[in-house]
Amino acid sequence: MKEFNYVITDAEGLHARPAGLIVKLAANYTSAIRLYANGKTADAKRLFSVMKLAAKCGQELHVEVEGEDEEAAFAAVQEFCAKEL
Amino acid sequence: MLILKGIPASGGIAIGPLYVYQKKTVTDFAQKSALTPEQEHRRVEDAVAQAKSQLDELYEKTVRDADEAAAQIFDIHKMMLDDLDYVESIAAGIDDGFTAEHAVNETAQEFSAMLLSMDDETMRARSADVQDISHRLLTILSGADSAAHQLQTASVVGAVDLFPSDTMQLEKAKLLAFVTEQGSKASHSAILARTLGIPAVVGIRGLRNALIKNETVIVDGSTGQLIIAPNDETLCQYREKQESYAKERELLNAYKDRPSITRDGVSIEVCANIAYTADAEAAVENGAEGIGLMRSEFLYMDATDFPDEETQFHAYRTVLTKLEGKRVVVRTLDIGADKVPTYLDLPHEENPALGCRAIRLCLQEEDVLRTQLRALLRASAYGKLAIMFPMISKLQELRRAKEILAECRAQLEAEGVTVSEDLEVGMMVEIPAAALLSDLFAPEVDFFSIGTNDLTQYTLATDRLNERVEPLFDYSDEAVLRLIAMTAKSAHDNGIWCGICGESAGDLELLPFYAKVGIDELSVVPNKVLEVRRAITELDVSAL
Repeated sequence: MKEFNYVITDAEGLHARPAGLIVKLAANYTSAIRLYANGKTADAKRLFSVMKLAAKCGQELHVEVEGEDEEAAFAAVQEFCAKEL
Repeated sequence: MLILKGIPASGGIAIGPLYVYQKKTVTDFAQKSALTPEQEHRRVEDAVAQAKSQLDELYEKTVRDADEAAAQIFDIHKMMLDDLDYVESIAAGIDDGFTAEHAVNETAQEFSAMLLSMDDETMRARSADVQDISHRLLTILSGADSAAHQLQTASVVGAVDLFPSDTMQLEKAKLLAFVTEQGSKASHSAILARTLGIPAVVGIRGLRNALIKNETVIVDGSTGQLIIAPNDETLCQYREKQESYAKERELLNAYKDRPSITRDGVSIEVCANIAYTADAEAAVENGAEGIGLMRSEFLYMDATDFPDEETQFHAYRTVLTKLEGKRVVVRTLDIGADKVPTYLDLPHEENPALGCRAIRLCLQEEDVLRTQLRALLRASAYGKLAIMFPMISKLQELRRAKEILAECRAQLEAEGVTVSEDLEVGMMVEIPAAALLSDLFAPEVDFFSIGTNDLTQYTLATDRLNERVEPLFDYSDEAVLRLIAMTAKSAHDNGIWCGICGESAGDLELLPFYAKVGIDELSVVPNKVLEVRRAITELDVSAL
């Protein structure tokens, strides 16, 4: 399992649009991708689940990736966070 | 004549007949299914496929009528239809022996209630999207009439609530404005209205009882007023207002790419004040020549702990990149006892305006300042950055802040990080002491930016939030103007530039004075940039 932390810098936080993008991205990998923020957990492959996190600007997002293609999925999610969040 | 008030969601004035938009609700369906669960599952699958192809069409239409960003909501709708939680909830209802309709309806209620219970306004607004997609499925499942509403003539559309897809299905050329009883500024319909450039007022209480078909109405999207059946006098008034508003916008747009130069060739830069990274967009859109004041407080106030270097670096870099080489002045942290983030424990102060705030606080909590300066220095490689220290009253404060900055720079360079050579360092002039000693400060900085709100408050010893002395708060008071003139003179004597970033920078009555004393830059809220620029081009300094 691989994990990393990322502090959200986008002023609007993890709102519907980036939530949608992250779900699309996660769908490309077989690995389980879990997001933690605000004391809540979300499955990155489920849109409502990610939206329910309501992660805001300045909050820390903890990401765990586990599965066969975890290396690739890990890199992709990390790149996504830096670019979109 | 009836006047209702709501939340102004998109500016402008519209006058026209009211089209009452009644949602074709689907409520007439059986709960218990007569089919097998497999058959009901198939019905849902088919309906989802059909709904998605409708959304594809809607996406294309929105790209044509508005833009790609506005269309993205329908992409999100498609994803909601595919969402495992949503789909599984419907499937579970069917497995319990219910009809597809009932299962969709129950799921819609449950998910929209879940979103409505969140304390984040933008997420609450998403409940309308869940209802929208569920309504789409129900319409398909029940074979109800799904034909879009047709506007016969140009109309103001009034509804209890409008889903984003409702708004986009209407013919754009005939849509004058819309007014709704529900909804917020953050709802997609409101955002779409702003993108389409039509007025909208949302959250109008009691609207449902006032909707009369074809009645003439006036919508003022700037004040949030809806006037139903206006009398002739009011109608006349608003016709004039509407005309001048349209003319004004059109005229101002012509100044977007024009230089801010007076008739006799004096150039005064017009920049924008921003408080969030996202505002940089509006600044560029409105033709700002740079960012004259980027407040950094949002990074601290909305957070649960001090923002780290990486977080700040990303925020500054975002704005610098967006401005494409135009100057961005970032003011270092400006908080005090009256405005404290939850994670910072500051002792109570009797007099926070005169207390340990801004640079005073940062010099006591040096690590906080160092983190911010390192982030700023790293970001400086991505554009034209200027760093500005707030609340400077003594030379020692400025010197100490600059020392820390130099140490951070040396440290970064030792780490092999690129830092811009052209970085400017300046200070706010907002305390009378700084203005009075501006001749001593000027040789040690690259620029001054005058914060007229605080300068006025401190010069006249007036708290403008205190109603009883508010009339004394006058930023064009002779005492304040003399300090401004003094500051500008010191700047020019020492070959540095002097700007104004307080609220009065946008006061057109003061513009001749600013021009006369040689103010080099005015920084105002993004939507005032063009107005100030136009006034500058009409000015003749030599004649003043």
